[in-house]
Amino acid sequence: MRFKKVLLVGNPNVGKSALFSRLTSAKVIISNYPGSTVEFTEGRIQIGDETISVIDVPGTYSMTPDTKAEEVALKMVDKETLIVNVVDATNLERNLNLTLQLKEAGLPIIIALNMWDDTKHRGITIDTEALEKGLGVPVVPTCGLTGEGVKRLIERFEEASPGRAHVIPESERWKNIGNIVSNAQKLTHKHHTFLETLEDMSIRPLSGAIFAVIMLFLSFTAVRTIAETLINYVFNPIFDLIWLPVMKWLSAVLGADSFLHSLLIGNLINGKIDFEMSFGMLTTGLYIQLAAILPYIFSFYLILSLLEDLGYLPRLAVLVDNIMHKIGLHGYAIIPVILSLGCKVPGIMATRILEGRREKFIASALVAMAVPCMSQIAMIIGLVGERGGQYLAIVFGTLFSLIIIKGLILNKFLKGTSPEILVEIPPYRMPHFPSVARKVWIRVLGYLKDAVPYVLLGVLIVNLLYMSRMIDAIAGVFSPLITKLWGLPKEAVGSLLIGVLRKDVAVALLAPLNLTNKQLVIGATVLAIYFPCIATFVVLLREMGPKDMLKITGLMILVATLVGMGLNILM
Amino acid sequence: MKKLNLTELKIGQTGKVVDMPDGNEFLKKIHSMGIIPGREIKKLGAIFGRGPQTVQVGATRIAIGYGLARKITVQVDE
Repeated sequence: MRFKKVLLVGNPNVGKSALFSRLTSAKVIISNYPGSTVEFTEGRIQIGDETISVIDVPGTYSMTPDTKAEEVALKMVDKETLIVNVVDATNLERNLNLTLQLKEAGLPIIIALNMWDDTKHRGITIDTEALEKGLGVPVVPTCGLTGEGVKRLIERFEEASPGRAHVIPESERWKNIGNIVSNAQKLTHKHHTFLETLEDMSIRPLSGAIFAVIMLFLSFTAVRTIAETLINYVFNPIFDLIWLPVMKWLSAVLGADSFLHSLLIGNLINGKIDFEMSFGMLTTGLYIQLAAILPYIFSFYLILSLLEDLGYLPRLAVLVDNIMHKIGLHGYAIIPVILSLGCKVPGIMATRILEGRREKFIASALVAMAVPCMSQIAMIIGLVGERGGQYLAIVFGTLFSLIIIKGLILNKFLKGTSPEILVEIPPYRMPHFPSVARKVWIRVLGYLKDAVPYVLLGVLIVNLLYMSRMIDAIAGVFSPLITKLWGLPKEAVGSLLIGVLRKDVAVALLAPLNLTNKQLVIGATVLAIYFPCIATFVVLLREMGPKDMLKITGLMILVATLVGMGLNILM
Repeated sequence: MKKLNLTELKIGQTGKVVDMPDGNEFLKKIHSMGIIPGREIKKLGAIFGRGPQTVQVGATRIAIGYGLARKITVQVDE
């Protein structure tokens, strides 16, 4: 084989990932390219005795490198690279623009005419021989969902040959495309399918809004149901039946008063290990990460990936674009916000999809401060809700107003403007489950690698602070703030400190303090705002860099102080 | 024959792109998505209050921010 490397190149939403899974065997690695944070999926195909690496390049509309990913992808091309251009058969015209650009660059290409099965019900007939002749490159109809045509595609790899590099003006290129398409494609009118009717519905303002509410409600319900089922029937039993005996043994070996016991196992609650309250690295540290958060991360990513592959997210972005613009963001920023309602770690990571630094900053700041995560929301509802719905309304109303007010302020005072939305609205398509599974796996793995070690470290540090009595000194410093400005008892400082690790546990720790309704509202609200939890802190640092992370954290402390004071005066 | 910008086009109306400025990043992306002078463009929808405009070019549907849509001139038969 002449080629040692295959790049899968194509427009966004053409089923590239599904085809990638079909081409490569199960083993897929995610790698960062040297000197950049751009991630690619890389897999291998076995052809005879040879192994060829296949790289899934992020979707692009043109050859000009708009994004870092495209730039890096172009640099990977060498003499032994074959370009498999994945083309959406239901949208030949636009897809061929990229194809002709690849040809103009003189690269050896072969076309996978994907979504082939979709052409029939859309009333499209394509003469592949005419297309092959018109383009002068091999064309193989494929279907990523079923794997149809993939074998044939690999068989014809050798037929691709490099051409002469030349430049054609854009208008000329579109004229060529027009000629090629009119020779190779016939369209017949077809009635709307059910999915197409839904497509129309979901972009109109009114029906779209109703549709969005239903979709979001279903998504949240699904996320909670899946996560809670996993927690109750998988993770809790694993911890109780397998891990608890190990920890009991370790606890007995170390002896309850030893230094290592305090670090690893933590405090015994009523003489027993309590995974939620003991606060040892191997007890609470592991339990919270693996049994309490991981199921949420998994189910969030599962639902998100399904919505993504279905093609719904751009529609939602268009609907909310208007509102988001007022607070300095564009429609796409709704995605980090939604994700953060589950957990801020993936939420802040999702700000990567936003274009500019300004937008990333605004989105991260809003999310870190005013969007409580799922477990915290549950705890607030449980504790504050007991005292009456009006108190819940104050807590969430305050947080919601904060998003608006802060967005308006940041939008006004940060330099620059928020960019305009420009996004393709892809047709709805049935998600391809193996690609969804792969995406979820990659994202969950990312969470395990990026968040878990830091939280364990955080638990260690807090334990050391407690043991060295440093915590009392810190409490002494902060108690005037808490008692004078916020009207909370001095003991609430413990809750604030724990909140750095786990905000939901921190809310729970307010319960035994016998707070008045007012104090409870202030405590719950301030806990949501005052500081990022350790995992959020770490992603902020990684995604935004130390300077912006400090700015956001500073802002959070300031706003929490003001909001706590405000509530204390007003209520 | 009448010249309008995309935001003035009625929903369901089809026009021909006659003019759009070039140069910036966004316009380059718009071009590569298939919106170029000479092509037919159909307005599918608009979100009220200066929201994004949804259009169809060929088989592609694209949502374009209001400010950007205002810079694209189309010609319609009256």
